[in-house]
Amino acid sequence: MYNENLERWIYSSIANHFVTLISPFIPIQVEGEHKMNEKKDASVEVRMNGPYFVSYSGGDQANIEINLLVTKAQDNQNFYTLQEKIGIARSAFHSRIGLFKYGTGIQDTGVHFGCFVIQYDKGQLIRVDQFGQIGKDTPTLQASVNAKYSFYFKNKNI
Amino acid sequence: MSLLPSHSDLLYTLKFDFGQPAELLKPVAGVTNYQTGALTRGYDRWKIRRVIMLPEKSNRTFIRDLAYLSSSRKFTEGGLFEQDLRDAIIDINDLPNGFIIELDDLLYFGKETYLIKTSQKSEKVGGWLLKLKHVSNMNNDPYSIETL
Repeated sequence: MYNENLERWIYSSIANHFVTLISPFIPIQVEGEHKMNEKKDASVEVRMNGPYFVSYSGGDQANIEINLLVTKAQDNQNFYTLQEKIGIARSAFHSRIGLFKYGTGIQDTGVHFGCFVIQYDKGQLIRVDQFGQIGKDTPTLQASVNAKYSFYFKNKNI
Repeated sequence: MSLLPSHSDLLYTLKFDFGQPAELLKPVAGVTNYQTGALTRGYDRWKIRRVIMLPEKSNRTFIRDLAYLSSSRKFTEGGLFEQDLRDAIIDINDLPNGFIIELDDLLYFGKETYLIKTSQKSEKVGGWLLKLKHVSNMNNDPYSIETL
């Protein structure tokens, strides 16, 4: 069967990719990471669902969905600050995202072992959903940026 | 003669014991430049010497409306934010005659700006009873006193 570290390598590679690209511009956290006490003007949260494994005669495929939740305090100076943040988050969705054996275990060598490739989902490559103000008395705006990726591999044990 | 204090005496006692200075902000003008996104907002301000600020209750919560759930159905966690909720009472006599506190108004207190969730005028008590809310883990710059 599949290497028992695969889910962790996938999650850590995805987290590392988005945190590296977005953190210089917007505070970012990975879902489950506790950073609530920092006061901020805007933030991005990285969430991932999957992998869903599919087996073919020629190999295997791992599919994931990545969702960035962009949160922005309502601004008194500029009306389009949420869209600025969405643009930064969306630009981190590269056509390929490298996979690395991150970690501190015996098999965690740090080597690059493949790439997630962005996939069309119902004709859409990247989907941006703008929710606007999240509650009638909550002066906070939210949007999400979503995309699906697939990773093809031949050796189950990688 | 009743030994119980009147409502106005109670209000006065509460104001004396728990009253703290705060500022009420009422929006009066707003212009948005849709090409540049520049916002111009104007507020009338009333300084109130003694607003009865009741204790603050903080909690962590999330809001997911239908649009969110229809687009990101598989993501059922995250998106948390922290909010502070508290009640306040403002003496009607501390405001101009005929003054009405509306839900678009803001209350600036302790370097934080609170939104007014509900407002209720009580002639019997002689005051406005307000339920206030503040999102505490976001910089509420739109309502930051420095930017108004």
